[in-house]
Amino acid sequence: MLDIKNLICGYNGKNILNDINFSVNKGEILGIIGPNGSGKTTLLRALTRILKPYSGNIFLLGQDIHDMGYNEIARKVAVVSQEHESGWMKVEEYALMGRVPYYNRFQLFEKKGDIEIAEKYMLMSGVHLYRDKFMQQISGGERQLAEITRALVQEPELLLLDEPTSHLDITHQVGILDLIKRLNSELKITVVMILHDLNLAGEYCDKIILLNQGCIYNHGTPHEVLTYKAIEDVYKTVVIVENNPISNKPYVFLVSEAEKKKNI
Amino acid sequence: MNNKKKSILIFTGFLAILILISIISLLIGSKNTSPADLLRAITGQSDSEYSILFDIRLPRILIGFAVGGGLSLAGAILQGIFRNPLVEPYTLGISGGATLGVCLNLLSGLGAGLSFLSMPLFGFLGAFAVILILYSLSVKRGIIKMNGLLLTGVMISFVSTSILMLIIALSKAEEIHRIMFWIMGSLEETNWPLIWLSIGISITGLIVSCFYCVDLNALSIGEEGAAHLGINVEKTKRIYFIITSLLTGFAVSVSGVIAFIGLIVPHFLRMFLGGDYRILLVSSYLAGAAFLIFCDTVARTALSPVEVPVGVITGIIGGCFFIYTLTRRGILWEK
Repeated sequence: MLDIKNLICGYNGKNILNDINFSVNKGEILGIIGPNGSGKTTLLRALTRILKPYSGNIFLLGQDIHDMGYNEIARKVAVVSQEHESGWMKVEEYALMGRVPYYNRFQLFEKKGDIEIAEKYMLMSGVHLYRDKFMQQISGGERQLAEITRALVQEPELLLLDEPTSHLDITHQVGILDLIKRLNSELKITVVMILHDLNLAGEYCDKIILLNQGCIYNHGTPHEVLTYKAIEDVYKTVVIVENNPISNKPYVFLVSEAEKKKNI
Repeated sequence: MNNKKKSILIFTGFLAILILISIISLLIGSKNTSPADLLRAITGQSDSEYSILFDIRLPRILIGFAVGGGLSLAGAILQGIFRNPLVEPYTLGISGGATLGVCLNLLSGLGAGLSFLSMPLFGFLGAFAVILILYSLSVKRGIIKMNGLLLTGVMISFVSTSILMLIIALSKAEEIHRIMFWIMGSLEETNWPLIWLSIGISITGLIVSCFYCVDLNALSIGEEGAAHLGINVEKTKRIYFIITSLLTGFAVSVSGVIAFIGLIVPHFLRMFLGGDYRILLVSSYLAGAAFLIFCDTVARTALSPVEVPVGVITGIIGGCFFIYTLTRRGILWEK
């Protein structure tokens, strides 16, 4: 689905990512984790062609993305970023924007089919309940759902998300990740998402990439990547990793300074 | 009702208002004309009426249409690109740049070979130079954030006014009169080829900008967001910058500095029609044209026989409106 080969990129001549190589298989949910400044968002920006790499290639379905048109990419890859700017529009109008990659040059208005598709995904994500509200009037969780809906209306094969659960309460965190999991299994959408929360990453992702200072520290299943050694090495924090009693996925426990002293 | 039908309905409404205001403007003035006189003038039964209506008032209405529509459209476009409801050709200093360009041309005689085209050409160059400066400072290198942009625009206006003062200080008395008269902003224009050219440029600007209004809608979710929707953001911005420079440069060279049209009209419409540029661009154009023709009619008749420069009227209305908007901007356009 997605192959990254020897990717080097950064800003203003400074390398943020060094020689990144990995592949994402069709139908996979890949989580990207790593400390602040490790290059997670830079990687995502490179994948969507916002940032031009210094060297290396990114292949989407076997085709180099720098040989593809902007429209062509937008029909295959949808992005939910951390930027929350939405102008002055209603949730419904915002969702319908997802059809823009399918417009012809001289097409100004949506067709009947476009509205039906927007309708379908609004029902699926539940944003139809507040479709007439303005994007500025809804809560952070509703907003995130609206953005995911807009991305779905693009009918992508690959969905990229930059911290979809940040600033949300646990109800919305789980709600959004459950939705993503459902989209993955029902619509066969491949998902690549940056996550801050290691436990959510362990719970929901098939594969995880741990980034450290612009390099891939480890790439594998949650059990392979989320080991106490790797996390202590990369995050410089003492942790204990146990399995979640329900899902048997790895769960990271933090150890506070006071507790550390007690146990010595 | 779908968006297409809705927009056609809205456009028809604004067109009707525009035509109504134009006819009223044609009929009133220092000598009021009745509709019956208008008919007689059209059919050629009254030569004196004909000359007042079609040689004096009609050119003003046509220029008002081209300039008002063009400036208002330029304002709506700039607000979309910079995602800031307070930017327009005047507040960004683009009008200032155009003014400077035209003055340089008036005094240096550089464009003498181009006859009546030289003024618009230099206006365009001045406007374009300012847009390039703003663009390279704010959007590309990210040096100024959106709010700093306005301040930068105001400073550019100051700088161009100062350079203008310098030019005036260095020039001869009869030239000063010519420049001052033009700067104050008036819709008087007697050169018919120039009138038709202004209308042509203005309408072409409208048509071309309509082809990209979906891109402008997409830009309202941010430049990266728009790029993720498959918009070639850099190309869209380039096209719009050329259109706005052309519209502003032409408007300034034909009628001097007419401030705030591009601020008031799109802003007002956005309050009632929402932020959809497919509706907003054409509406802004028609409403801006109607608004300027209206202001000009007021300027001609309010203190008759003295004629007030129309730029003064829009400046007073617009300046007050700007302050009002600034105090409540959070409500209308949150980031």
